[in-house]
Amino acid sequence: MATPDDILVARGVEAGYGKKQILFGVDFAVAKSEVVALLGANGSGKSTALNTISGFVRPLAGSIQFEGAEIAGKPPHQIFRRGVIQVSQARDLFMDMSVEDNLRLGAWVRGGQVADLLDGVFQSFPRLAERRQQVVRLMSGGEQQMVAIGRALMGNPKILLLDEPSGGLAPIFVNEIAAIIKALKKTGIAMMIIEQNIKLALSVADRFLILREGRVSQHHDVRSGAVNEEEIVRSIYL
Amino acid sequence: MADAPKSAAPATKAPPAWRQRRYLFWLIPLLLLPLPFYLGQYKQYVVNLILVYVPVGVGFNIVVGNLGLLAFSNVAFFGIGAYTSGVLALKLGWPWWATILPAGLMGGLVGCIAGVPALRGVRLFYLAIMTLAFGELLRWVYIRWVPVTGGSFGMSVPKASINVFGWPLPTEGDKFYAFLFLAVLMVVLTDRLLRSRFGRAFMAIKGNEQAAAAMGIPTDRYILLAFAWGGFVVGVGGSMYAALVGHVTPIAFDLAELILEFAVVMVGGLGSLVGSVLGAAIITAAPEFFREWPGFQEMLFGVLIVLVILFLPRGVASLLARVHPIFIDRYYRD
Repeated sequence: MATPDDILVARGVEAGYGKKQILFGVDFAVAKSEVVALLGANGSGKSTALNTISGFVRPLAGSIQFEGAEIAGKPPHQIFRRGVIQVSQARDLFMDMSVEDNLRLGAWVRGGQVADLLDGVFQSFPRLAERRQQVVRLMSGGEQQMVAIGRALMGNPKILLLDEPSGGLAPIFVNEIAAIIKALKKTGIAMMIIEQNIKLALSVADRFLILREGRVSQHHDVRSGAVNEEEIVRSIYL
Repeated sequence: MADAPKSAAPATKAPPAWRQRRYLFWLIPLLLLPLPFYLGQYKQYVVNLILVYVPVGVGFNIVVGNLGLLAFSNVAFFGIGAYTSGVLALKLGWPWWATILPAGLMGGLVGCIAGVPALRGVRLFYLAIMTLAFGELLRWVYIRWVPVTGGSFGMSVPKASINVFGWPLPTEGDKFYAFLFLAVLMVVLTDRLLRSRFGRAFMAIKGNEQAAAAMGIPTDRYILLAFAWGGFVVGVGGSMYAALVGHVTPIAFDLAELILEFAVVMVGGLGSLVGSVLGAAIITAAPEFFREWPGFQEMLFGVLIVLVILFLPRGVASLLARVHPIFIDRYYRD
């Protein structure tokens, strides 16, 4: 399955919380500049899969390689330094800090010199530039999601792991987030994205996998031709 | 978003002038220099005690305020610093100045040990009670290890040992200069630390530990570092205490002392370096003002603390921050 272009390769990944195993031998790969969507019903193990890649969940078995190096079981801060950056479902923001402080901390590993990166993020997200001194807690869900994505970009990601970027957002924000993800895709960042919004997922993804009870049940290449949305929904939930 | 062009702040702007005026803080120690010429021995003693509590408050505030962990082992760092200086001076005949660094290092070491439960994921009340117990455990050691510590009666620090490079410090006024130097040094070094990436890591851990890890911050390492540096600074304060009082006893490091040190942090301002210094001054000096009303002294002191916490939950430092932005703690140099 893996090709030389793949930067992220997972093989036989098993993971869980305590005694409850969630993933039972999951395989997938993400190539350079590729966007892979991870679909599945609630509890199928999508978030666990992302958290295992980013190091927040230690795998019980299997291997996860990023750019040829084994990262399975490494602590999150080491995986982050390799350029694997997650935007988690809870958004994990520093709620009592300003937008600017949140963004600056995204570039913590590179020390103090972040003015250029900050400019770049503010150019992509003018809304954040307007609110740079605002405390994140007081912002809307969509704005918080922008801060979360912006902060991930401050870390110069090679691959972004997006856990439901449109989750719980007003429709207008869903469109905005979709536009942001498409723009990111154009810059050539590889992405792995969990999305309940199938339309959004299919509009940005090159390929998608369907997880079912902790196993990959289907693979689809969106580029190879028309995909029947209804059929996908059926195969996820039924 | 449509109105962006007008209201959008320029992404990079020149730092406001006040940020560069931080050097004005150096005026404070300079203005204090002539103090011994105006104060009597007792008042000078109180001022010296304030200077002892500056590093004690600064170190405590790093762990509780900047890192945001409920760790109450501060009195353990304070005690170990005082005992290290006392033992080295009394048993080994070291001059006091040579014991300052070892006292700080012992404080840092004890800080590392006190930080271990935090590394194991112990938080909140559980961490509070464990660190409290740790402080009491050390007190038990001071009491029981009689040959070294002198037990319940403690030990006297030889007067002759209290010197700096052989230069004796017989009066409170002489000690003042040594203490002022040490207090300023601890504040300046801590300020440097807090405005570096270390301080930003503390801030991130306080804000959201998991998010900090997700930003590439090795949280364990920085939690330990905060405890170690906090312990070091407070240990130096302990060494100063030994030189000031001349007597080190276990009773000086009990729970009442811990509450006093906690009051320094809370009244000054949680997570504020300016606050630690202010808190030390207020909490140490206030009882002196209430001395005129004997019998009400403790009550007035208690009322003062309650009022400050009630109306200034971010401490007296937050009041100053409202007056002028120079008092706002910064985490970046630019």
